[in-house]
Amino acid sequence: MNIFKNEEMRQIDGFLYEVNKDADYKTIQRVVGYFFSILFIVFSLFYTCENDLMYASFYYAIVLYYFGKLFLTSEKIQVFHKGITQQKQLSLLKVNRVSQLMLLTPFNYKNYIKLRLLDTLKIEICVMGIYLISICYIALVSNVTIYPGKIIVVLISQIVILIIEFIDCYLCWKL
Amino acid sequence: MNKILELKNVTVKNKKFKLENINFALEKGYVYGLVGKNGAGKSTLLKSIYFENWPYKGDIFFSGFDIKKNRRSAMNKIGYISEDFYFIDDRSMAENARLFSMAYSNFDEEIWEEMTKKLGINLNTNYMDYSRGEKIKAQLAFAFAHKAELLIMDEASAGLDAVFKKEMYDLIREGLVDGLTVLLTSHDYEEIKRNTDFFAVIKDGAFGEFKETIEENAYEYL
Repeated sequence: MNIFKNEEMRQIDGFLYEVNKDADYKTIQRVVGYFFSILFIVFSLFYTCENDLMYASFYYAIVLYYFGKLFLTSEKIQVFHKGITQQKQLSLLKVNRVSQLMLLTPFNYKNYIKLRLLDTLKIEICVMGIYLISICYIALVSNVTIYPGKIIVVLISQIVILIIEFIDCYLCWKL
Repeated sequence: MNKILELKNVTVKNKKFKLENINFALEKGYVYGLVGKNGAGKSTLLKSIYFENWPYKGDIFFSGFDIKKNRRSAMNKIGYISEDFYFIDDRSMAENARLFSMAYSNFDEEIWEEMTKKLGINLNTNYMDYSRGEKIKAQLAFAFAHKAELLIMDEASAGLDAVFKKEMYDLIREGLVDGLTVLLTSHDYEEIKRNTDFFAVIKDGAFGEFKETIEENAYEYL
């Protein structure tokens, strides 16, 4: 039982699990998601420990991380159609996004948004946990300079990603 | 008066039209029809009642409760029947019913089986392979299975054969005995005349009152 999810959020979670449980490319999706998330952590570590050469890498890290996050949570976005190409889905112009599906059910869309934000937060906490442990380790075993201001920037980026997630949910609702 | 749906000072609008200050109340156990030209706002009004993301101003009450604040309990008791409403295309109707029943607290498996048998719905066929009539039948069976008290039917009978239309209205009439209420739109004047107890005309952005007889000039709005 998840104390952060209310009754309806748990029901939505169960509903989405059932909708997507036969997705045939879930494993590769997860592998790609983890790959991008690890890349994000590595780039963030470079950014935090370097003086001036790796500024640009932070930008790429954010973009890569967002892709990673998308891959990790996209079962919350896409209703998988087994054996149907995306092109055919588009030609059908029918329900292929969970946001559309949600609006056809009695579920409260606000709870769906909360669920997506919670899922994003879970991934962010894991990624930030690994990042902070790595920073501590680097600080203890090496003489590399660590810039605390940059750690704050990395943490702020997580808030930005949460905001992007919220805007994404809201736009799905509006459209 | 036992009101199931009440609209108070409701305004809906889009780029083409604006319907202002709509006020009406639907009593349980009757069929209500909406008449109006294409683009008059009939479908938009119905969607504003049912869909969370269709904006409106004013208050909509379902069984005396604000629909915005009690959306889930209201949606459990409202069935939306329309060509626009769809289940997941590449799943069988049996699978669709299994999935969507998770969202409806009142879903009754026995009623679902009974209704699908009665309407001759093949549950193993994918939803996208159904004809328009079969899709409407499946939606209707699903609405009955989740014990809808109000059916919102947006041009649901358009393009259906006469036999199924009769079957559909017979089903509705049976439901009325148990307190079902129906709000529908149609372009078929004869159909409106034959099958509704009250109707209202939407004309030039104004919403008329629900009346028992169709006025002579109603023809021009069909």
